[in-house]
Amino acid sequence: MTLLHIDSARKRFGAAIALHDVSLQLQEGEILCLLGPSGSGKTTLLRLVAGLERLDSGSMRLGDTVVDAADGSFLQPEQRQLGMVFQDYALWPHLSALDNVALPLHRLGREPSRARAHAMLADVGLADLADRHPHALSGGQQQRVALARALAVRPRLLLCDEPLSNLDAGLREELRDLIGRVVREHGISALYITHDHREALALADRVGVMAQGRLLQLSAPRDLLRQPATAFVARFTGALGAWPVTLRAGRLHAPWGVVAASPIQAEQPEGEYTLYLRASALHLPHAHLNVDTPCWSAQARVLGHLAVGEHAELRIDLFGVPLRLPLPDALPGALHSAAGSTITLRIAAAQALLYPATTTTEELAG
Amino acid sequence: MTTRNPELCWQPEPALVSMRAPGGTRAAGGRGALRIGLLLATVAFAALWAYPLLGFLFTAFLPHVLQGDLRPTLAPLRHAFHGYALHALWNSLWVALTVGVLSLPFGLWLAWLRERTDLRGRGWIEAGAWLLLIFPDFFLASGWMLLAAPIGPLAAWPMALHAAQRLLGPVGIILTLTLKVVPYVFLVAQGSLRHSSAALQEAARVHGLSRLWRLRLGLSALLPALSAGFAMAYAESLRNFAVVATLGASSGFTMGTYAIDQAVNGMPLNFPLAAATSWLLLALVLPALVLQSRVGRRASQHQTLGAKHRPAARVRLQASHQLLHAALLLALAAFALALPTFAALGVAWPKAGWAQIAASLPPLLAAIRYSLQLALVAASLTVCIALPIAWLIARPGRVGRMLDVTLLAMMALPLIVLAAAYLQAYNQPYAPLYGGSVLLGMAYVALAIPATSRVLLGPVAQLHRSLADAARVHGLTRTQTLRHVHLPLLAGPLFYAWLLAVLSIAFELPASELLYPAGHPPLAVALLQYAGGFQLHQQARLQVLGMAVLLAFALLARWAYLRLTPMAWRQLGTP
Repeated sequence: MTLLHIDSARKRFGAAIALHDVSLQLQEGEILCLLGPSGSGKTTLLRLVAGLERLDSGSMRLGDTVVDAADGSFLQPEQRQLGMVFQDYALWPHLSALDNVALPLHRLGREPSRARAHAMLADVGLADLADRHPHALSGGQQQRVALARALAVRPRLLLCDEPLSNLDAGLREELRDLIGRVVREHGISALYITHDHREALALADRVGVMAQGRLLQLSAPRDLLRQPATAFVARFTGALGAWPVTLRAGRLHAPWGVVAASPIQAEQPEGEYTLYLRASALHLPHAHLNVDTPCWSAQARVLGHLAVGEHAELRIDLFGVPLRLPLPDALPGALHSAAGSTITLRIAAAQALLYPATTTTEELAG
Repeated sequence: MTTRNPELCWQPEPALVSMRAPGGTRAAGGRGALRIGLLLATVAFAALWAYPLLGFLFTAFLPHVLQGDLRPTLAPLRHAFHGYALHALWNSLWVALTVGVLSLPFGLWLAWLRERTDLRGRGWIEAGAWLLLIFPDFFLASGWMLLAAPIGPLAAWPMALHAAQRLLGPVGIILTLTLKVVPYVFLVAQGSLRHSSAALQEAARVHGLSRLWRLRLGLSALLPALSAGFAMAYAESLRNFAVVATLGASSGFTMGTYAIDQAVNGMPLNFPLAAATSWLLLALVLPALVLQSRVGRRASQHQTLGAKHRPAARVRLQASHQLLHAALLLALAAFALALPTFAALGVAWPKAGWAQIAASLPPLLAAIRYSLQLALVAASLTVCIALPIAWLIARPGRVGRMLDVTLLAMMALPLIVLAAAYLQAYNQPYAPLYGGSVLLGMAYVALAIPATSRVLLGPVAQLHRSLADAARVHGLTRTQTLRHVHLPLLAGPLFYAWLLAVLSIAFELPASELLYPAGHPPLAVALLQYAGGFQLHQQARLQVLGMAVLLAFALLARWAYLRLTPMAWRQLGTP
């Protein structure tokens, strides 16, 4: 059942258009991540859902209730039964962690609200720190309190505005898993904003990629990785590139030579294209590949090695694009000493991502 | 073609670079300089504060301590708990509490208009608050006196004159003090509103809190700022001397600071009673200090980690509300600043003719010239001492913390107490400085250093240590670092701190009143003498002339600074 229905949402701030006719639906129990760079409109969309901004045109429904529409219908934020986790935590600084969680529950009465707040804090692993004020909590702990506060009100929809962006890498992963677990345990739907594609792909049932106020693609994480709708989506979800190629007579004229296009690529009209590759499509010479996998060979120049903790990476230059590929521990010694030399990479042809050669603006507008 | 700005370019000075003497000699030289510096600092601290203040305050228990007689007594304290002194202290307490309470809604209203509404021209609120802050309090009080004078501008309207005469007494004192302390409340409330993230209120809305609950939440978040504002307003009212010396003296209404003045400025001189009254006044100020310190700690704890700040959305005022608030603001500005000024102008206006006015000018100009001369010297010395103090406070460590606490205590000290302490301490056979300009200059420096250090503390603290480290690592000597890094960055703050010190010293009253050399009354004292002698025309003329001269001086000094300093300094250093 659809919980959130957004239809042609448009929002403008002065001369700048923050949202261009965005439409999407969020199902009950679903976690939907909106992914995009700064200024893509994702936070504006979230604030519109929260009721902190109003639509210029289009409409928005929560369940059967129209919460915002161009005809003037508008439900105040405090009446929408939402929970929200803010990027800057937004904990009330003069209240303890327990009181922060209990305050929105005040209608239940003092004891029941505190009991539920305690339970929520225990759920996020902060039962022992309930009496602490925000200043006495670390960033990660503050965000756990914010999550507990948002979930304690048993919201119809949980909104998360880049909740992990102020935290360090290790903590981000831990808290991301916690949010996913707790939200699914409570059976709550969530709209989650982030600019980190790894976070979105790990957490979401579906991911929407936004840029310049437009929703470019909305699909399951796997589909997003396999078939990014545009070159921007490919780039933003971690694809490497770009290499200019020409498709002619079923063959690709790439910087590393003329190679056979895969059947799907060959179906596209002949012309100029831009090619992107995921790291998983690039294989070092020693890698074992299925003999049936069609591969292209490409000469890459070795730039050096990089130790990343216990592992090592090989830095190479593939026709003007610097790449870093993980080196397995049992690597032939020849590769280790090859700074400045060349190696032959194998590229899984079917995983290559082709997009018509356009400027960035054309690409986003399209 | 590119041109090089000589102020921004530097060449290593060969002579200085090559002076890398053996480490031992340099270290020994540094230690020697440090010892001399510490000795000078100790002597300055003892002469400016420790000796006069401790000597004076101990007089409450050891009345003849400065004469070497250590027989203790509690008689002065018992005396202070009776009659005139106790009555004055009681008046101080209730007036300060009233002023503290009254200033809160005004300050909060102004801060709300400035930070949370789209009121047109709201930037003027800040300008007005600063203007009110630097406007001398005895000018305000003197303006009210002239307004209520039988020869004042209201002379033709008996009803209005009668109403204005109500200002000569506790009503006027409370009103004037409230107007003077409202900027403090405004500034702390403004800081709190400005630094509270919009997300806090948004979180309250999204999580379903009603308007009433949100208001409660907002007010409790503002509570530290309001408490600090109240504490400052209360303490400032207790410390004030000028308003009670003008409006109170003319109506027989006394307060603690005036009682101290009377004990050491009347006959018979009674320093032990003044000291005992000072102790009691300090005891009244102390709770405000404690409150402010606790609130400050709590407020700093409210700063949460890693928060991205987004200011709250402004309330859109309807046209009628815009008009109403603007009218109220204009009325407030007229009442606080324009009315006293116009009252002085009205009385000073040459009914008697220009010839008479010209004849009356020499003593007025002499008072202004004397105040300005002393202010220039004392302010320059003040900045020279305040800068290293600010630098020491900005550095982490025990010395900085101790200095910080000491300076805060000095700022809370009623100026009349320090002035009385100087009067006693330097009127001894072994320290016969009383009656000369040197002593008055010393008092000015001692009074101005705490505030000037505070003004310089922010800019000095912002000078990241790595700036100097980078300069040294890249080959600049200490002198070059000072000239090319520190001086350009601090030039603006130093100039404005100096200008502020000049103006505050030129308008200073308590020390001037007790320590001025015979025959050379400074501006504030001359004004008070004219008021006391009912020479209202002279009083008004001095007020108008003093304001005009000092305003012209401030503008001239600013013009000279902007004209004479390199462009790069102004861009970097001007606040």
